[in-house]
Amino acid sequence: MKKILVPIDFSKEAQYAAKVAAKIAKKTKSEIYLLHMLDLPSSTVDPVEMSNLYEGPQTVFFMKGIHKRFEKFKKLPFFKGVKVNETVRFHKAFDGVIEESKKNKVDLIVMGSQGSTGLKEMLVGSNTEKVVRHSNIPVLVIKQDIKNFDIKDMIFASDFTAKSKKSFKNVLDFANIFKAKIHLLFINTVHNFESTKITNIKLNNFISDFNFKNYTLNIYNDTTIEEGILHFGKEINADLIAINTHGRSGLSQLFSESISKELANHAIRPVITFKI
Amino acid sequence: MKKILVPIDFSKQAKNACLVAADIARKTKSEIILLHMLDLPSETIDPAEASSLRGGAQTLFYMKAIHRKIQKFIALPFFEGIKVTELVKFHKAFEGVIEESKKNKVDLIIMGSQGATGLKELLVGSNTEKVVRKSNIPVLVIKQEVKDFDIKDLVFATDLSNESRKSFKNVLKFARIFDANVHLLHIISIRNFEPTRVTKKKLKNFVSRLKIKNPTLNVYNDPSIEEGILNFGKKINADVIAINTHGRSGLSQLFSESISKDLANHALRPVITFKI
Repeated sequence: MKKILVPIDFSKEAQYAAKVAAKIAKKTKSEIYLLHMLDLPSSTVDPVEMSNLYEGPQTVFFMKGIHKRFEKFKKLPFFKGVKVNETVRFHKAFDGVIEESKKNKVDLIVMGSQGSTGLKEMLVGSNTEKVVRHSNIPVLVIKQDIKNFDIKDMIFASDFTAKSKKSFKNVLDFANIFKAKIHLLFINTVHNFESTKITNIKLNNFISDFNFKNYTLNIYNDTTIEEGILHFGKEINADLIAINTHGRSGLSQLFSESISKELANHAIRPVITFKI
Repeated sequence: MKKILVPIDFSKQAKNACLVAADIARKTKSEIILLHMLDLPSETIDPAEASSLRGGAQTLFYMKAIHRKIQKFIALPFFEGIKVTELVKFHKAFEGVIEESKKNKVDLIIMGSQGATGLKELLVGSNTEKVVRKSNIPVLVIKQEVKDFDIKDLVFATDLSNESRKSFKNVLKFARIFDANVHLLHIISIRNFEPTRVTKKKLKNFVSRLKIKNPTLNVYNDPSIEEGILNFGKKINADVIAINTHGRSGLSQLFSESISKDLANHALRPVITFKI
């Protein structure tokens, strides 16, 4: 872990995300990239008009204002001892996050999210959802203020097929930063009903490929996979829920993708997604 | 525990049942009643003919031979130190077992069973099945030879109903004889599917206010309840599987009834049934 990207809009959720990012940065001796997306009206970011507008008094004034806000933000106490870089970009919010993380070879994205449901979800949660779906690197979604971010108990929820093994090494690496215990979790539903005997074989085959001892194996029944993950998370008071994303675009409602999107929006606990 | 009844037909299974009976009798200082049912052709036991036939030379010769066989059997070393009584009766096999166990105020019935599947089941397993269904006292079904019968781990498979809870006290009484570990087991299939957190609550309520030494509470998924019980029994290498019977007559295929009948026939591990 060397670089952590935190998109900020100066909201309180962004601050919560930055606080967590700072804690991780301190632990891993990484640096932080604060990214602010200027979501100006489309005409303002039209490349043809760009040259004229860049000098435009309105834009300059706006950018100076942003810069001042950044300076104030960087002075927040939890950033002490951490190297913080700032970037301001003109982009559609989520596109920019993905692009900047690739450009700067970032290792982890930490995002704040209000994670609302319904209409708001379309307006506010959607950026987080899109980043979660398109990012090739892990995305950690923070909803609430966590004073002393630490991970003692981490859930890895999966269907434990061969595909999900590929990203597990990344899950392990992240868990090791905090020496966390990993609770492997399989949610059983009526639609995907599986006998415990089969699931146990799957779980044991999965973990036997990795040299890792600090784990528990869990089978949990629930109405939906998302609810199962959330209820189990509550039962063991998990510090973090880790899941896979498939990253497909469009409306494909595959297990990992729809679950991780919804979870990232509905969970109150931190959720971290790993692309398969 | 004071009296154990063992129906015998001089088969290997009956001997296996006797071996177990002897071990239990020794542990509990109980006496054993060996019951042999004379399943003579119907005209031989026709009440109208009875008086004339009972004096019949053929029947007398037969009864003396049986008596000699039983005495030879009782003289076997594993019965040493135990009070063994012989009982020979004219009855339809299973009716006699039930009647004699009531008459003699027996506490436990131990039966050997071949527990075959298919056609044989109708011919061979049926007696055990009928006794299991009709008996008001526990029936322990032995399939294989068990040397030094002892119960370290007892599985009680239950639907967690109130009726089942009432019979649980008798299960515990039995378990205490051996100071056995009690493993409560609830099988979840598609038909009775419910979230794990609901099942766990039911399990906790089931054992609340009861004096049990550290019971384990287990939820196990399987499309077939019988398979689930057998798989779990295998997983923990249980010494005996305890289940409920409803004891309804006729072909009503209620949960407990058909499960316990099937289980008594298919399980290789000892199965003990408790009437609700």
